[in-house]
Amino acid sequence: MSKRKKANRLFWVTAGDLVENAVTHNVVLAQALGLCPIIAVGVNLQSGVVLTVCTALVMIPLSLVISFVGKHLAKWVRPALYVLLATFLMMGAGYVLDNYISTKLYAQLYLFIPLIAVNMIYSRSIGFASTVKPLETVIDAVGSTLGFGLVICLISALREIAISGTLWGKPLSSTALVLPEAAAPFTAFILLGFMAALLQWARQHITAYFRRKEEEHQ
Amino acid sequence: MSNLSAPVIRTETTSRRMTMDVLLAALPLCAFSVFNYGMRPAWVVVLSMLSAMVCEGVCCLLRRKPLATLLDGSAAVTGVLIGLVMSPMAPMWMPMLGSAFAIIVVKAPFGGYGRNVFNPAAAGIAILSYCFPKSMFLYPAIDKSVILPTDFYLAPESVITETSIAGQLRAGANPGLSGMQLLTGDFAGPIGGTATLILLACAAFLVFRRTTSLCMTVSYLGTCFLFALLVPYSGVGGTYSAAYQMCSGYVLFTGVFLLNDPVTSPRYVIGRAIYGVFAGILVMLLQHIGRLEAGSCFAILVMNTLSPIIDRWSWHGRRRLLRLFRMRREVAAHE
Repeated sequence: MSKRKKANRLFWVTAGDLVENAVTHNVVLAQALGLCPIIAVGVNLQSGVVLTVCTALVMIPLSLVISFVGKHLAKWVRPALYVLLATFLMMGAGYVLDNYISTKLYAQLYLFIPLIAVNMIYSRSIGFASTVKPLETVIDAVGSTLGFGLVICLISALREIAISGTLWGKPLSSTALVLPEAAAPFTAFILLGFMAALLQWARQHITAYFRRKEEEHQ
Repeated sequence: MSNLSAPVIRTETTSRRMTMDVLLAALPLCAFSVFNYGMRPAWVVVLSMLSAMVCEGVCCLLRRKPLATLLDGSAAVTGVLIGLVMSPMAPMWMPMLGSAFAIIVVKAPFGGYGRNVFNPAAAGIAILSYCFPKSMFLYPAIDKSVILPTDFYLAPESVITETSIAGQLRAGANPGLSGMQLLTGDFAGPIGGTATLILLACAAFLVFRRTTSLCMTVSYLGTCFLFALLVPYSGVGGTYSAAYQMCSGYVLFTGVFLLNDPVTSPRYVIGRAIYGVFAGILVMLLQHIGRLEAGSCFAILVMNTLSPIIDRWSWHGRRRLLRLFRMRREVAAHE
């Protein structure tokens, strides 16, 4: 097999992995994890992005550690250790957010970082983390984080536009129609429902496309 | 003799007949409001209905269903019901928005008529009353000499407004209306919610046509009346308070039109009675302690989620009762 062919194959396998975790098995839309932060604080784009960064800070190191040591632990002890580990990482994420990003945002979001951390332990990529190689788990974790980030950023951006007519704190136009009631939980539920339905509809096509590509470069 | 068919029920109870009955029942309510305020209420209702039908058409096209599905009239009923609870001076975009929400978000994604979990009209009203409570619950005073202009948007300052009965009761005031006024709908309120006598006649008509269930309507109204008798508002005497609460606009309308949606209510008689009782309690509770006047719509939405469970319970209960009776009879025959 030539080098080029090998690189091609690696690319499609990696892309397939990423898309599988980010889109077809999306953490929020397909696995229904991390709903609470999206519904409660997904009301402006800033907090959406910050929560995504926090998720990445928890998720990637966690899956890396699990892929190294997970196999050597007894099954019954794994969940407790994972939670402990996630709690430590979450404290780190909270520290970064408080000291380097924004104290104000930390005051708003500190309640939801633990929620995300514990939610993500149940995600699909963490579930597989102990059985695959470290590099693959990192790709899975990045995919999961991306999936969560996509959903929360989209929803929080839409809601921010609806609530105050701004995006990232900047007004979009001078005569914007605003609906402050969009901050209520039901808007997020409705948006999530439609997005999940869209995903169900598109899912088969996406999976089939990547499977075909991988077979082509076998 | 071979083409004899099994005995069948001869009445044609199709969904189309039921929706047409509801539309027919809505006509006199609309006419009454037109008599009071001029043509504006009729426009509100018609625009709401058209908006619902257009949205349903678009959804039909998207789901690759024939446009003839529109003819079952369910979208028109949703639109008309949303139009009927609007204030006569509501801006016209409001019922249109509510109808569009009801069809696009509450009805179509679940699979259209017959598969919706929630009553689309109740959901549309609920979201409007949550998002725009100010224009939703601002009613023009009844004055036969004043005819509301049929502008798309009516500035609230240009009309003499009046608080509805529910609003006055909440504020601790005595509405001070006579029994005759209450019966003939001589007070401010939503387009289709004030004419008590016409609403009762509609209920009788719908029950007589078997479009709505007698059991559900009676148990709902009975529970509401009992609750209103037992829990009067301060400052208003017992019986009068009950009459005010029953006629305050949303309670009766909910019982006649929103509660009896054949898709989202239970199928068994026992279940329907239980449904009516619980809905009555919830509606009156929300009228008393809820933030919004239209608490009854939220109550209906809550009850919609319970309706499959109530149905299952009543099915099991009925079976158990029947078995008990059969065992008794067998024992008696044996002895």
